[in-house]
Amino acid sequence: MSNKVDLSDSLKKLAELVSWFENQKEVDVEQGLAKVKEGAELIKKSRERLKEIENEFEEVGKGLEV
Amino acid sequence: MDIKKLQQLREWRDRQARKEGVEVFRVLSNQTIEEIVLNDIKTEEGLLGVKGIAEKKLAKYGREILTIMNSSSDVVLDREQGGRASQEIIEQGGSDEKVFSVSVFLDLVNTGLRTFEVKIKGEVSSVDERGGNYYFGLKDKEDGSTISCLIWKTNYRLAGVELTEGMEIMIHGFPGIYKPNGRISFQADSIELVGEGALKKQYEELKKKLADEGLFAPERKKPIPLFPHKIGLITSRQGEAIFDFRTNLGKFGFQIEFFDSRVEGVQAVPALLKAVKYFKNKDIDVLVLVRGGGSLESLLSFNNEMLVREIASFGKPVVSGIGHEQDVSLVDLVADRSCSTPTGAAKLLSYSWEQALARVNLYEKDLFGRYRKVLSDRRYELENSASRLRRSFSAIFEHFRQLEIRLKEKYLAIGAGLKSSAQYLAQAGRTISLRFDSLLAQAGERLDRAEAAIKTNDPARQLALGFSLVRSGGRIIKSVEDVRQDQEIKVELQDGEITSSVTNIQIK
Repeated sequence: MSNKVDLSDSLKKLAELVSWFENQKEVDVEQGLAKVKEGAELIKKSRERLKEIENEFEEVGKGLEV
Repeated sequence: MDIKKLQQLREWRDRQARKEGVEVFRVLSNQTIEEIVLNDIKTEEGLLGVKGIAEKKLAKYGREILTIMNSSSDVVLDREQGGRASQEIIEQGGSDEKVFSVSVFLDLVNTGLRTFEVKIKGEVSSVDERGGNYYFGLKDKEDGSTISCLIWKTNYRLAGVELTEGMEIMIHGFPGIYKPNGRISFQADSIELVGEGALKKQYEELKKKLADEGLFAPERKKPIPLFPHKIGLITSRQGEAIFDFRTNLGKFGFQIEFFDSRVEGVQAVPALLKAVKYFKNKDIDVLVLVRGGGSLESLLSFNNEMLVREIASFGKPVVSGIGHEQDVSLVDLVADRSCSTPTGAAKLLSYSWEQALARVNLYEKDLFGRYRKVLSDRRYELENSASRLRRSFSAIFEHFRQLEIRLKEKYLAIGAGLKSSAQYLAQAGRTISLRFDSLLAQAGERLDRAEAAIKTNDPARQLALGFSLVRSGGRIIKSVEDVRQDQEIKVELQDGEITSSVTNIQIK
């Protein structure tokens, strides 16, 4: 269920992709297209993880003496 | 309450604990036993509703507990070969004329007194510490009435109050008779200071002490992880805090492990400590303690030194969301992040998730926007290049066209020139021919004249006329100086040649 590493990683990679465009003096169209494709995939996966998922709630420690 | 049942359950519990080699409360606590008896619980479902009994304990002890609860006290005790007190009751046949030994009587009285759990307020009149346990007198400020009290060292440490004479306190516990001397004493399980001023003073002193130790220092704070997923939640099942927390926690698939704990009153500190310890080695990303708002007095548990130290040493980040009217609780100060409400704590945990969503949207806009601009720039460049090419080709074509025109002009000029030249050549040919004829005629005439001259001057004609040619060595002798004495000479005549020798030279 948990894929927080993937999400952190995806956001980091997306930031790097945006930086790549920022840092290029002249963007090669083919290279740019490859970067955009990679970004689109990351955005799709991130959105998948960030969509509304019901929380799981479990009571623990019942029966433990205080 | 059925005192006999209470006694039977306690005796069974004590025997069971001895058998298992554990402390009695590990089997059943006094509170649990009292709840079972007080509510006359006789079914498994009923037992599961008692605090302190879950499925595991029900499976282990349920049958024996229910046997006691569903049987006549005397029969059960007989079969269980119970304690001395119960046996003596049986020996008396349950009649009204019971005769007890002192010890049994005190046991029965103490069992009854155990149910008188109360809070008492008074002034500390004396304090005596023995082996970590504290024995103290509590005096009524109005009429001086006094009761002896004791608190075991564990509970004393939990209370976080340093007893001194003259201090006004409120204690919770139950009375009992100390069997060796028959005196009544009050067994306290908690101590609280009385009065806002005293509480405030205690709060400030403890706050300073813990701050001096560096427990609240910013550099000790652990960062709250991005995208927390597994949350350990400690609060009361009853309060609004849990509702506020769950309502305001975003739906990002959080796994919440909830530990129900009292958050106010004498049982709160041990309950909170138990809960924090429970989560100590659990696989969670963050521990959350929440409670609704309250006064300094009602938040006493969250200013407890042991609880603060337990949180300070907790290995994972701790978030507190404890409502307060004035002073921030010490748990808030020691927590890695403190929020003013349970709602605030929930929003804090959701924050990175919500931000991630916003960041993904932003990156999407940024990424595609930048690439669209790249494409747009390229299209513009292409159009620009095409336009330049078109202009360049037009210039080239125009140049070729001009060249063609010039070439045609030149061609026509050359054609005209050629035609003119041809005419000229034709004319010249005719002229040359005429002139050539003339020249030929002139040359013929000149030849004729030359022939005539040649004929006139022909040596042979001269020879025929009697002249001769004298040669020597192939050369014609024109002077006497050309020959020497005795030189051979040849004389050519019209009809032959004479070879002779110079015999005499005579110059004229």
